[in-house]
Amino acid sequence: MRKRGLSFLAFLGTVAVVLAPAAARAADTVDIAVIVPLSGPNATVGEMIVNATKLAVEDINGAGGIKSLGGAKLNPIIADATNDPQGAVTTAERVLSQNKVAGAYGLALSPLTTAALPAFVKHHVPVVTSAISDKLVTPDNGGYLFQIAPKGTAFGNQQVEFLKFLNDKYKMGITKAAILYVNNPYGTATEKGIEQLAQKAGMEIVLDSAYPENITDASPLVSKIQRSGAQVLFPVSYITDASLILTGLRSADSHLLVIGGGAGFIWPPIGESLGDKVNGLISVASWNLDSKNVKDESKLSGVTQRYQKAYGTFMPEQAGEAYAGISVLAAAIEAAASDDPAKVRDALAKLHVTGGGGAMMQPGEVEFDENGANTHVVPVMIQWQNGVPHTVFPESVATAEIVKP
Amino acid sequence: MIIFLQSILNGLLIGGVYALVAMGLNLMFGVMKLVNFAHGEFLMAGMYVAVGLASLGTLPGAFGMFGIYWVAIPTMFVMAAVGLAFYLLLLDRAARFGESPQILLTIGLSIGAQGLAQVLRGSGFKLVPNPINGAAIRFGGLNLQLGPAIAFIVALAATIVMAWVLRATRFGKSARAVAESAETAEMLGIDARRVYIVSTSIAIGLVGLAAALLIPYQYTFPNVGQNFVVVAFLAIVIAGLGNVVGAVFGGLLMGVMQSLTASYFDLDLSTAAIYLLFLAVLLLRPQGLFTRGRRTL
Repeated sequence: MRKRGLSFLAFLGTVAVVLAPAAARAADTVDIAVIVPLSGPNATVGEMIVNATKLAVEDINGAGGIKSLGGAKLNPIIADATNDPQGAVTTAERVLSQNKVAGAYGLALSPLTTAALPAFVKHHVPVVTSAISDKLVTPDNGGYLFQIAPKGTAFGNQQVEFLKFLNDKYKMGITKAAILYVNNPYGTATEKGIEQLAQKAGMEIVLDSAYPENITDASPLVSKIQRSGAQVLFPVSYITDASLILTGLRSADSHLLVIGGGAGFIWPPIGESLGDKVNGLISVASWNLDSKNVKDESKLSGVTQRYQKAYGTFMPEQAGEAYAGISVLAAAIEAAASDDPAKVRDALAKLHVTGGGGAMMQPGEVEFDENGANTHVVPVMIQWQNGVPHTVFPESVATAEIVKP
Repeated sequence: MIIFLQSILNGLLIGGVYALVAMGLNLMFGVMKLVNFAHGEFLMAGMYVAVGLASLGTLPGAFGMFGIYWVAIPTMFVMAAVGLAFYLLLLDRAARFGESPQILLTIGLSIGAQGLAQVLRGSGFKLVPNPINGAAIRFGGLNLQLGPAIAFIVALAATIVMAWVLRATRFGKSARAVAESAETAEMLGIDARRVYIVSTSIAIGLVGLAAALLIPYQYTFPNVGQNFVVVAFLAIVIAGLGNVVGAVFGGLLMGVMQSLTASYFDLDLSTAAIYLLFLAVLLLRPQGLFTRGRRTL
C-alpha cells in the first residue's frame, strides 16, 4: 500500500514536471520577431522601428499582456535584416527556424520584404509590414503578409489629389509636373502611381526621370527640372537625395512647388539640418504624428510625446507605423488566444481594429483584405511648419491649415 | 550653350571632391602598391570628426558664412594622425606577410569601420546647419553652388601643393624613388618604411580634408564613404594607377562625365557611362589616360 502510494506521488510529480513548463510558458511570454535593417544605409529605419517597438511592447505588457493567454508578456526578438535582400532572407530563415514566434513585424523596405516573404510562408508565420510595394499584396504572398501602410500607388494618388485641392483652393493653375524617383522598387512603385494619376488629372508630365541610389550631386537633376518648365515637382527620394535636391533647387533660386514622396522629406534629420528653411515643404507620408486619429486620442498622442522624450526627435513615420503594427499583431494574438502562428494569421485576416494601439494608423481603423492590404488606410499630406510635419490633407484626418506654398 | 556650360561646371565641382579622395588613394597605391579598400571609411571617419568639431561652433564675425570651414585644418591633421596609427598599428604588421594580407586587412577594416561608426555614432544622418548649404553665386545664367565650389578650389590648391611636394621636396623624391623600386631605393639609402608612413599619413590627411569640405552640404552617416570612393577607384584606374596628379584629372573627368550624361540623357545612365569609359580605358590604354609609359607618382 505504502509502495503504491509512493508510486502515485511519483506519477503526480512526473505530471507536474512535464506540465509545469507549459503552464508557466502560457502565462510567461509570447515571442514575436521584429526583423528590420539595423546595419547599412537604411539602419535609421530599423532604429525608428525598434524604438517604437519598445514603446508598443511596454504599453501592451503594462496593460496586462495577452490576456487570452493568461497575461503572457510580448517578447520581441529583434534581428538585423541588413540592407541586402539575401541578408534579409538569411536573417528571416535563422530567426524563424530557431524561435517559435507567433508572428513578425518587418522588414520595412520593399526589396527586403519581397525577398524574405517566402521564408515567412514556408514557416507559416504572418508578417505585418510597412513596406509599401503593391506587388506585396497580391495572392502570391501566400496569405502570410499584412501591409499596414498604404500601397505604393496610393501615395501618387494622394499627391495628385492634393494638387487638385491646391489648384481649387488657391487657383494656382498648375498643369505641368516633373517626377524624379530613386530607381528601386519603392521609387518605381510610387512613380507609376503619380504618372498615371497626374495624367488622369489632366496634367502634362514634362519630366519623368529616374536616378540611381546614393547620388552625391543633384545639380544635373536640378538643371533638368528647371529646363523642363515644370510647375510642380514630385520627388520620390531618400533623405540624402532629398536634401541634395532641395538645396540644389534653393541655390538655383527656384520657387518650384515641391511635393515630396515621403521618406527623406519627412524624417527628423532633414528638419534639423535645414532649420527654418524646411518650413513650407510638403510631402506625402504613410503616417504622421498629428493626424486626427492620433491627436484626438490622448493615449496615442501620449505615445508620440513619450517617443519625443525618449529618443529626442518627433515620432517619425516608420515609428508610428511600427507602433500600430506591433499593436495589431498583439491584438491578433489576443483574438487567436494562441501563440500558434497559423492561428494568429487567421486572426489577422479577420481582425477589425478600431481602438488601442492599432488605431495609431489613420483613420484609426485597421482591417485587411484577402491579399493582406489595409483597406482603411490612406496616405496623408504633411507640411513642415515650425520645424515639425503637420497633417494638412486629406481633410478627414488633417489637423493643420496649409500655409500657402 | 548655357546647359552645356552649367553641366561642365556641375561636373567639375563634384569632380573636385572625387579628385581629393582619389589623390590619397593613388598616393598609397603608387608608393606602397596597396589598394586601400578602407579609403571610403576614412572619409566617413573624417566627416564624423569634422561634424564633431563643427558642432562645437563656427568662427564668428569676419568669417561670415564661411565660419564652418575652420574645421578643415584640424580635421586634416587628426586624420593624418589616424593614418599614422593605421600604418604603424596595422599595415606595418600585415606587411610582414606580403601584400595580400594588407589588402584583406583594408577590406576587413572597411566593413568593421562602418559597423563601429554605427555603434558609436548611430545610423542617423548628421548635417550641422550652416549657411553654405544651398548658397550659390549666379552669373551669366550660370549657377555656382558655394559648398562644392569651395571644395573644388581647395582640391585644386591641394593638387598644386602635392605636385610641388612630389617634385621638389626630399620626401617627394624619396617617394618617387620608392614608387619606382623600393629595393633599389633602399640600396641608395632611402628609408622605404618612413616613406610608407608619411605617404599613408598624407593620403589619409587628404581624405580628412575632403571630409571637412563635404560636411557643410552632405550628410554624414556610416556608409557615406562608399558613395564617393567607388567613383574615386574608377578615377584612379582611368587616370593611371599610382599617378597622383593624374588622379585629380581622373576625378574631374568622372564628375564631368556624370554631369553631362545626366543632363543630356539620364542620371540613371551616368554610372553606366563612367563604367563604359573605365572598360574602354582598360582595353585601349591600360596604363591610364594621364600616364605616359611607366607609372609615375
